[in-house]
Amino acid sequence: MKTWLGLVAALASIAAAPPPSLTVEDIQQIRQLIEAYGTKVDACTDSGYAYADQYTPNGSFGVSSAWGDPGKSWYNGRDQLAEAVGGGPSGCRPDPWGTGDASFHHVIANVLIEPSAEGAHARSTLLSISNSAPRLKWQGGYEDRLVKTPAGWRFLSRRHVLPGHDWPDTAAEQQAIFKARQGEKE
Amino acid sequence: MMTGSKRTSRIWCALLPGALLLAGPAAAEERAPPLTAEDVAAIQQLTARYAHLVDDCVNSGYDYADLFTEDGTFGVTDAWGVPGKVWAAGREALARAGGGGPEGCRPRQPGTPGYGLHHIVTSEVIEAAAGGEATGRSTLITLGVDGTPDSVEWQGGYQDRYVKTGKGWRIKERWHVWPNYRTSIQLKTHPLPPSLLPAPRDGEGGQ
Repeated sequence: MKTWLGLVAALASIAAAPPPSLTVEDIQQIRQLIEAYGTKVDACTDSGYAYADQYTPNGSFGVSSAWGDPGKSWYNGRDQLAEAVGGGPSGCRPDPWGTGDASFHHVIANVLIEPSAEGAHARSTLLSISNSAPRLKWQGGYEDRLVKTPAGWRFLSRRHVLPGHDWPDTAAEQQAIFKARQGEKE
Repeated sequence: MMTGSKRTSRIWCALLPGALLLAGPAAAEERAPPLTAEDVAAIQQLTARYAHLVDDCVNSGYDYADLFTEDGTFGVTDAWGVPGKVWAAGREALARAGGGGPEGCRPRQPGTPGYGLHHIVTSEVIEAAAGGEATGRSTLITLGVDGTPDSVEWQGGYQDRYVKTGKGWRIKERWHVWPNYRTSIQLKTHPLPPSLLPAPRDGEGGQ
């Protein structure tokens, strides 16, 4: 009986728990994380770990074809995330995406941040600016799960969402597609 | 015994109601109570949410409509501070403006207005206004204006009135201020009925 009463009390406390909320400081810190991402993803800094350390140690980056869909995870954990921007334990290497002069820069806009049970959820719009045509292009956006760590807010997961796009299963396949396109241009 | 400061306070307390009456309601209305950091953050989030919901019909367009007050309006004008044509007033009309309505979301396909458009709302300035309201002014960049993802144009921006309701800050009035609508690539691709567009000003032939 006591067990049941305890369970009922526990459920009642969960039901009565106030909805999660974010302070203005939380929103500003998350906004800074999301906006700084645009420059950190464009360059291999500190062997790529400046990029990787925006995530939790078990964080992941992936791609998705629809908002709200967890999609495909391409990079998991700190070393893989550093490799995503051309770094890793062996240091920075030539641009793994092979885009050369046509490389594009990330611009992030329309940052929407909402509280979630684990911390925060965010959605933003991604544009690319390139040195060659097309100069400015809509690229879908990002959908993020964020958690507050002792070091501050971090991405638990980030998905590049391009609605309707048929993404390959791995980053290596996407890199091959990019390099082939680059070869066609040259 | 009354100290000098206490005596002064009492005199002020006695004079204050009369002073307010003499100043009249206009003076009281002109004072805009300052916005807190929470207010500004909430309005910024409202604007970000708008940019996503205007591009994707969600919940039959009612998620878009619910960014506004029940009697909220959306319209288009060609000059800052000048009212233009109201396109939608009230929740049902706003849901239709958001791509939906009671029958659900309407599919946006090539050749239909709104197809492939992506709104970027930036450079927003939010200020306190009389009566506890707030005003906002932002810049609008739209991509996909000719149906391809890399077509882009500056489309003026938004001029807004916000009010704080029991559910949080909402848009009371939003004007899309579109000074270049006459030469817009979007409107050349998807022409709108002249009845929806601001009337030509004196000396303008209109297009």
